[in-house]
Amino acid sequence: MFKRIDFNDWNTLLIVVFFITLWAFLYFSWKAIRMKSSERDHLANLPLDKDITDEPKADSKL
Amino acid sequence: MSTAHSLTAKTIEYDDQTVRRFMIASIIWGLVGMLVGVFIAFQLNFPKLNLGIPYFGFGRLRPLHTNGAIFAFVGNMLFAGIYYSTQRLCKVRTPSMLLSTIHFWGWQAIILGAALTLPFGYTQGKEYAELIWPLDLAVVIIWVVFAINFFWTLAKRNEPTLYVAIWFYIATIVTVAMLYIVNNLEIPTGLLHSYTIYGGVQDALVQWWYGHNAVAFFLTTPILGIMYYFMPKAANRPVFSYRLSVVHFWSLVFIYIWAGPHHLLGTSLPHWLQALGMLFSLMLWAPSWGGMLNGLLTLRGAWDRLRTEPVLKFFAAGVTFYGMATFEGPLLSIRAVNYLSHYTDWTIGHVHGGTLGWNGFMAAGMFYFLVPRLWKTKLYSDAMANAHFWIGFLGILFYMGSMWIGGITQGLMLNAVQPNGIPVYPDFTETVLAIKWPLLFRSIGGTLYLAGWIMLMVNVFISIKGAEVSNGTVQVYTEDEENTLAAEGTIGVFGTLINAPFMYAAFLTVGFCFWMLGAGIFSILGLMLSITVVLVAVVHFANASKDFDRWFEKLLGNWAPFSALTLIAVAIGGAVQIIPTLFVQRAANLEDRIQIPYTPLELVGRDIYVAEGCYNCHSQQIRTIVPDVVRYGDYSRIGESIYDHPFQWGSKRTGPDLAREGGPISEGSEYLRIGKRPNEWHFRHFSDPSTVSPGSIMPVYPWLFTQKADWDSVATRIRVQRTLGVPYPRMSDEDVQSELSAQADEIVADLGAKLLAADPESKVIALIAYLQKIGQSEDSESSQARILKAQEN
Repeated sequence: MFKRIDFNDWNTLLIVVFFITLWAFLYFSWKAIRMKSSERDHLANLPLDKDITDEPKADSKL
Repeated sequence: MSTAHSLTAKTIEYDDQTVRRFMIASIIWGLVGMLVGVFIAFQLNFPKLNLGIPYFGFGRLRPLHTNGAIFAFVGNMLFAGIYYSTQRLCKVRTPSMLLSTIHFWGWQAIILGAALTLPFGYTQGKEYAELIWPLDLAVVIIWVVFAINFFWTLAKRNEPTLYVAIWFYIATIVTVAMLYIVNNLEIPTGLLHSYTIYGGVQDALVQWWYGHNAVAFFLTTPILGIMYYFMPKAANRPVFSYRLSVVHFWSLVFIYIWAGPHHLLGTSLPHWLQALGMLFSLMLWAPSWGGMLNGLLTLRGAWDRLRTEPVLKFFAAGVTFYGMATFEGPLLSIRAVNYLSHYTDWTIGHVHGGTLGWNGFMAAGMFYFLVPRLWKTKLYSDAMANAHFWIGFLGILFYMGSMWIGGITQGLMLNAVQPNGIPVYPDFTETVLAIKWPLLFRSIGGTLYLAGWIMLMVNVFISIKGAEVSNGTVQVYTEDEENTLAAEGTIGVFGTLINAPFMYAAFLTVGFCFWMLGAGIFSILGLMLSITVVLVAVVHFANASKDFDRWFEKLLGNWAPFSALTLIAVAIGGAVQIIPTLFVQRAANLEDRIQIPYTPLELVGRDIYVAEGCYNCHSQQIRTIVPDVVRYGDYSRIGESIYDHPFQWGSKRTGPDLAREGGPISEGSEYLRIGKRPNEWHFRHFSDPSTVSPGSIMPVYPWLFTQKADWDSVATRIRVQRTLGVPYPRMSDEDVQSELSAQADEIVADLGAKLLAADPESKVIALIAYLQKIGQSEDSESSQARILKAQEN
């Protein structure tokens, strides 16, 4: 059913894989760029949510 | 979400005990790793510092230093950062304290195991993957424990969305698991020894696919996740561009994994793979700098605080070093630059810029940030933290500057060739002596950095001494006691895979494969399937683009399918590169030269070569460039190391290349080979290198003369090699012992003629036998005859 994969011309498959990968990457990037502002702001502010005990101790500059 | 549900407020106390444990472990192991590094760095100026003790040798301690820095120091640091930030980003406590405890103590036990085996010469002989097979197994088990704990946290989370730092952690967990398992597939020959299943070029490719991506997915992506959490936290402002952080993530996931072959430029690795590695390395410039700028610009409006706040100072410098290292990396992967830089100290400087500057400074910033939050205390001394920054910064500058000077100097000297084809500096030692000052300044730089780390250690331990521990708490609102995320709006693994976008991609891949690989009708059917899928997908997308959007948005909020697709994205790059080389071993003719398998004594010698870590200073690969060929001989062919399990091409030439060290069998002898140098030279060289090579910085190896080589396990080792495809004839234990004695006796007799006495069973005799064999090959006809004979037996 299959012909033997020739080591020397295996790189032809690269073109196929390259385009599939590129398509996926461009799609994900496009979605990131088109992200809604509300969603973006919510996500970007997640690390800033404070623990109840989050504040460093008094007179520490850290 | 249904409005019929009522909200319940509850307070969650985070498991910060695990964070504290990993943080303290990282600080302590960091000290150990750096101490070993400084010690072996000074050995390059003062070789006698190894004191003639085997456990202190450069070749054995360098793996301890690298593994210690990567897995012990940075490993513990990233676990601390991941446990701290994931709980807070998910607003949930890590679900299993038991798993966290197993994870912590298991990881420390592995590190201890490495510290107790590597100095004793128990190693796989592959850079950054030296751990012996029982420890490899332990790493996989503990990593799975970590993964379960992490993904369980995500499954129980009270925050529906997944912040980008979590994505980086996911990529780390799935990719490191894949890399570690694939690269460490091996067959044990005993409790402490094994042979990797890959040989020669296969092993080189798999190893550097692993080695490069260990840097990418162990030293970079988790630290980027930490950057994306801790920098906004410390600066008290959101990341500069969340969109950019998402593009940064996908770029690294899709590109990084392909770049491994840039470690093998000019070698016998097929050219298309080298070109691929270089191309993808260059592509990394853009996302890496995008990420760096995103990190630095997060500090917009807060730059003035760098003057007074050590945390921000360390973070800003750490991210800047990330930018420097990721600029230099692609630069070094350009073929012309690589021919100068590779095998020299320039690479060592580059690596340390990343480890000391990026990993080390990010670790320091994170630890200073965490101390007042994990203990009810304040940092003992901000001034000491500031002093740590400056002394560490100075140390890195010393280190990198001297390695640039030393590396470029040695590279230029080694590559200088006269018009008549003779090297301008034919004596390798001359090029080493030329860089003795840069080597010394490197050691001083490392010492300064170590001094800074000791200051951190003192500062942290005084701060927390007697202080009460503090676990973070948060109040969350959940829909019911069981939590967590509402079922609506989520998709499982099944829902992701049986979904239009994924199915189109899958059918398209199948179609392409049939088209490219299928014969006759299968090829035509494959082409037709591909065209049909593309047309249907385009029409479907045009009519139902919202369905696609919904699928993608659900995907981003669901860790399981997200992780599965991330794994597929990173696995593609590795598969495309590695699978073709699996066919090489079976090929009948590889550049018309096939390696002659080692005799039993040569195999014993090779195992000693690996155990002593000779590959840390000597390469066995002559590149396809004129300076290499005129200095060392004909360039290395793919078939010449095809039976080497593991490969020993090396990555650094502190000493000369050894690929053409061996020679043919002497007339009238059955085994005795004489290569570039006589047996006597090698014997004296191991005893005291400076007697035959004045100015050499190679240390003495007195134990090679007194310790006996392991002849008992050779028969088992040969059986394993046979299993791996090395064409050994079937040999009984007696056959093996008799061959060992016969060859050893010939070498001892040859040395005796020069009035040198040696025990035939001593390690030095086996090592000499191996060195005299390196690079010996035969034509394909002889090889076929040998294979047929082995198969008949």
